[in-house]
Amino acid sequence: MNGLVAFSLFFLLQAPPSPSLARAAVKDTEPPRIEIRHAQTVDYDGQARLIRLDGAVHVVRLTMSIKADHVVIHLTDDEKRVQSAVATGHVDLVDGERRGRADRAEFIEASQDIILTGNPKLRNGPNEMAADSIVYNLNARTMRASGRVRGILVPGATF
Amino acid sequence: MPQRFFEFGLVIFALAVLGCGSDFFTDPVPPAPAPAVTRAREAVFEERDDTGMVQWVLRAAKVEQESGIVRCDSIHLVVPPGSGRDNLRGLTAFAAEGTYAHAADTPEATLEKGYEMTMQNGWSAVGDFARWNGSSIVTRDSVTLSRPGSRIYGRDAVIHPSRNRIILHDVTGSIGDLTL
Repeated sequence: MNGLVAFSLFFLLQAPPSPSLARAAVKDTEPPRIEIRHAQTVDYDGQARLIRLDGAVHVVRLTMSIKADHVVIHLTDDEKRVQSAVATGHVDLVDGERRGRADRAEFIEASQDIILTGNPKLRNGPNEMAADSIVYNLNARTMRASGRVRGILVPGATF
Repeated sequence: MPQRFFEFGLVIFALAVLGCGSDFFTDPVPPAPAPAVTRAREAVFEERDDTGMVQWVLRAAKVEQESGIVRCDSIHLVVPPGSGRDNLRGLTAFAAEGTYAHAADTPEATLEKGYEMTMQNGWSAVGDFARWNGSSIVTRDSVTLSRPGSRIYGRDAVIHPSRNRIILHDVTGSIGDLTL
């Protein structure tokens, strides 16, 4: 891989959940809702089973806020679940104190992973991480960076 | 575009046959050059394909035709669902008022003074004004799209029932009942 050794880090979040995460736990008992704060265009395509949002997209789901140029939500056949969602273009993801930026973010429903690619950066307080790919898991609240990993980890500070 | 033939004749039900019955009348004070005005009740406009299958039906409780434009009261538009997966493609719409016109093989109907639309795919739409051209509906002056758990507001929308597709512009709202 161009002389670059794929390097991965796995950070297990050990800090108690932030107030925002505690709120998320309460809200998890309610039907999840994707709030569309703004989109210039929303295109529901029932044949392709997807919802395409374009133009200064801002969506919020519980504690997570995603801004991007485009978001495509792929639905299951019964359209009652999200199969996957892909945000592209100036992706700015905020979840509690964590903030991620990338050219592309893909959410995989089965694994609850968010895969950031395209100059991904993740930051939480003084901690910063950049890599070729950063995978953030919503359930475990873990982060794994791989490929040209660089960053700052402050001892005692949680990621 | 599939071969189609249009049956845009104004189909008047038996109770409202033009020229007879109490529901039809001409202008009571006919000035000499005034345009012809035709009024009727229970009018039906429809399009069928070349196999005779109904593509859409527009019913109006009361119509008044003048200068090629038919003003309608209590409009009911029906796009029947197809079969199999196509069964998600139908819709029905109601509006207090509207118009119907037909030119160059393209019908144009407006739904005015408030419409309510229910789509076979589970979405419904409400708004003030929409235009139907035989294959798609264009709304304006804000539209609210909803289905259980979801409500989306847009400035306008384009609805393609035959393609099971809805496009909204300037959107806010929320999508619920989706496990993310």
